[in-house]
Amino acid sequence: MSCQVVVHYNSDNGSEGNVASIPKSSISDVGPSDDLLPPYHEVTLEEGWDILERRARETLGMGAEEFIEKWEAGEIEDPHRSEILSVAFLIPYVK
Amino acid sequence: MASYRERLQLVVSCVTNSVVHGKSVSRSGRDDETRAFALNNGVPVPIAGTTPLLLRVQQHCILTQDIEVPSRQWSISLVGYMYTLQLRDLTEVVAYQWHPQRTIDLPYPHIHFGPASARPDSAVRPGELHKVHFPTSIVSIEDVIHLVITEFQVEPRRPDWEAILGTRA
Repeated sequence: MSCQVVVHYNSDNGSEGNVASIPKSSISDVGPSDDLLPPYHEVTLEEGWDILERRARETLGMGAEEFIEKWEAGEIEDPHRSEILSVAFLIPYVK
Repeated sequence: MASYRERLQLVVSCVTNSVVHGKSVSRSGRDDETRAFALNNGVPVPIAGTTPLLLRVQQHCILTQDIEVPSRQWSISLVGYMYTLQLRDLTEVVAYQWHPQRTIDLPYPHIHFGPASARPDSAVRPGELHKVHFPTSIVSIEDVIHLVITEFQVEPRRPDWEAILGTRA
């Protein structure tokens, strides 16, 4: 099965643009200047490795590189567990 | 108007002041990029309510630009997510998951009813009902935040939460 949720938006300047339509909602009256809205943080590669290393050790007792190697080899036991998937979801932080 | 990442931060701000972190990954030879988003880097965050709960939100998206049209329209496609509710002792209540790129043997969106919800003496799959992947349609983060506010009595942090989350189907 293959499916996606696609949100289209236009950009004049490249990699990030304005949301033109998002399902079930309208956001035209709110924005990032909102006092209740903390800032988004773009993770650097170095931070990504630190985060993945910490999460992999806390969850599985192994380092980030070992986790990635075993994950990609299908050698992680019970890969559908939320705690493990949560670490796997962080792999794009580093590669 | 806000970017998708700001939109995601806005939606979760209805129940938490924790920060959404993200990383863009461009691959050579391809005109798209993957974006990984994680509230508090995937570590569950407390949300205030009558039952103390923890919330985890992680998403994967792919950003593509259509260079064939003059407007060079960008599209962002949600291609995976994890939305998890846990008790404060980390016992799972419910987990919405869709991770076709992470586990190719399980390509469809699904829900797990965790040990805090599934009876250990259930008539089917006793003791392991929490392992069952109940199929769902794709679930939005707006749906999950609406769920915790309206069904689990989580206190919204902002008065405009209904406007942010939008009209429910």
